[in-house]
Amino acid sequence: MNQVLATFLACFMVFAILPCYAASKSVDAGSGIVIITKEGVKSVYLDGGRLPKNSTETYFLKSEVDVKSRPLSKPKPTPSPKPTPSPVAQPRKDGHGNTSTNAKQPPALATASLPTSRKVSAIVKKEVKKRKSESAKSATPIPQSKKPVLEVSSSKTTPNITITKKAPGAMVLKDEFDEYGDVAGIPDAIEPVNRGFFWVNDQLYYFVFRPVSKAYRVLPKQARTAVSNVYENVEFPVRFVNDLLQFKFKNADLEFRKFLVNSVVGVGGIVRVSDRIPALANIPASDTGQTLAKWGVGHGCYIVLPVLGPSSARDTVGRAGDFALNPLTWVSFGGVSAAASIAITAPNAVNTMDARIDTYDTITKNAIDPYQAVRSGYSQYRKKVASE
Amino acid sequence: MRSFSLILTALALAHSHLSASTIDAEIFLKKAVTEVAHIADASENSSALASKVRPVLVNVISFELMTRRAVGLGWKKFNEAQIKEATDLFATLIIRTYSSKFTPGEFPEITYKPAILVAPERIEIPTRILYRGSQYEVIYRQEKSVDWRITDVVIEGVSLIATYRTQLDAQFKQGGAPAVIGALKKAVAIRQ
Repeated sequence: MNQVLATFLACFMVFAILPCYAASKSVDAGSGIVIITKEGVKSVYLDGGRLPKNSTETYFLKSEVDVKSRPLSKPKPTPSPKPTPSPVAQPRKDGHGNTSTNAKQPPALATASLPTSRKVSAIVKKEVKKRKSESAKSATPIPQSKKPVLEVSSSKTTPNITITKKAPGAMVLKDEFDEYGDVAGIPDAIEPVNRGFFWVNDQLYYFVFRPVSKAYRVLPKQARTAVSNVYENVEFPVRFVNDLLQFKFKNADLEFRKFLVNSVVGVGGIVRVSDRIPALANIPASDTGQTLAKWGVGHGCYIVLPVLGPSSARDTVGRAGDFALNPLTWVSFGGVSAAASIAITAPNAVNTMDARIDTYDTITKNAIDPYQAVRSGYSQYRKKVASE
Repeated sequence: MRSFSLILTALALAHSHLSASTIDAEIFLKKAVTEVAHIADASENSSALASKVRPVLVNVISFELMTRRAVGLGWKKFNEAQIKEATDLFATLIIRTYSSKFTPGEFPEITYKPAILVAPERIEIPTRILYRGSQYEVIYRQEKSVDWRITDVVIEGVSLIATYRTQLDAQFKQGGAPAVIGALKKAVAIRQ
C-alpha cells in the first residue's frame, strides 16, 4: 500500500514538479528586477515578462549593470548602434511564452547604452538603509493630500525600467487603491494543469470526501477530538525535528515536554492535557516546507496535488520530508500487512479530510473564482507560516 | 533641563493619545464581535444568520473601503453607479463569508491581544479564537474616519480582502468594471 503511494509520489515529482521547475525558470528568466520596501528588497514577479502597467513603484535591476560612461541626454550619434548587453535590449517573453524584442520602442532607445557607470546593487543597498532609517524616524507620516513630489536628483530611464535616486527625507506612500497590490503569490507556471487537478479534486471533495466526512461526523465530538489528539501526538517527530533544523531550540524543548505530558498524563495522547498548561498550549507547529523556507528555498511554482490539494514545488518536497519523519510511515513500511497499514493510517486520513473540507468550504463557498481563491489563501497562509 | 521636561511632557501626551485611541478601537471591536457572536449563538441556521447580522455589520465594517481595496487600481475607472452596485454586492459576499464562519449554537472563546498601531488612525487587533475545539489566530484591521470601522479580517494569515483582490483584479483585467460587477453578481446569485 505504502510502496504504491511512494511510487506514485516519486512519479508525480518527475512528471509534474520538473516541468513546473523548468516553466518557472523560463518565466523568471527576465525577472532580475526588485523593488525596495522598508522590509527590504523584494523580487518582482513579472506576469508574462512585463512590469505591472499602472504601478507607481520604482524598479531596480537585481544585478550590477556596468555600462559605458555616456549621458542619456546626449546620445552618441552612431550610424549603426550595436546592441548592448542591457536587459532592456534582450528579448522578453509574453504571457504565451513567445519571445519578442521591444518592437514598440524606437531602435535608438532600445539599443542605447545607459549613462554613467553605476553599480546598481550599491544603490539598492544604500536605498534600503535609507528607507529603514526613514521609517524608524518618521513619527508623523505625511498625509496623503500632502504627498511630496519626489525630487529626482539623478534618473536613468530605459524603455521599461526607471532607476531613480530619491531626494533625502522623501517618503514613499502607497497608492490608496493599491494597498493589497503586493499580496503574497506563488508563480503559477502550470496553471492549465493545476486547474485540471483542481477540478478533479473538487469532484472528489463533492462525491467522495464530503459523504465520508458526513458519515464520520456521526461519531460523538469527543471521539473525533480523541482521534485527532492521538494522531497529533504521534506526529511529534515531524515538529520536533523541524524545530531543531530551524534552530528553534526553545520550541523543540516545549514540543518534547508537550509530547511527554500528553503521552503520559493524557493516556497516549487521547487527552490533550498540554492545553491546560499555558506554556504548552500554543506552540507553533513546524513542518519541512517551513524549514526549507527558513533555509532560503523559494516556493518554485504553485502545484495542485491530486487528492492532497494546493502546494508548491518546495512544499511538495516538504510533504515528502514530513512523510518520512512521520512514525505512521515507519510502522507502515515496517513489514506490517496491508490491512494493518490501512487500519493504522485510515482514521488519520478521514480526520484530516474532515478538517480540510471545512477550510476548503470557507475559502471557496463565496469565491468569485474558487481556484484563485484557494491559490491566494494558500500563498498567504504559507507566507505566514514561513515567517513564524 | 527645561527642554528635557518639554520632551517628557510631549511623549506623555503622545502616549496618552495613542492609548486612548487604542482603547476606543478595542472597545469598539469587542462590542461588535460579541454582538455578532450572540446573534450567531441564538440563530437557527446559517442563512438566517447572514440576514440577522447584516444590520450590525453595516455599522462596524467599512464596505466601501473594503470593495475599493479588493478591486485595486481599477476602482478609479468605476463610475458612481458602478461604485454603489459593486459595494452592495461585495458587502453581501463579505457578510456571507464572515457569518459562515459561525455555527449557530456555538459561542467562541476570544482572547484579545494588545492592539498594534500601524499608522495614525490605523490599528490591528490580534485575537486568538477557540471555536469548536480548534484555535485560530484572527487579526482585525481597523481604521478611523469618523468612527472606527473594520477594514479587513485576517484569519491564520489569510486576508479576506487580499483573497478577493486576486480574484477581482483578474476580472477587471478581463473586462473592466462591468466584468467585476458581473462576477460579483454571479457569486452572490449562487445559493448557499
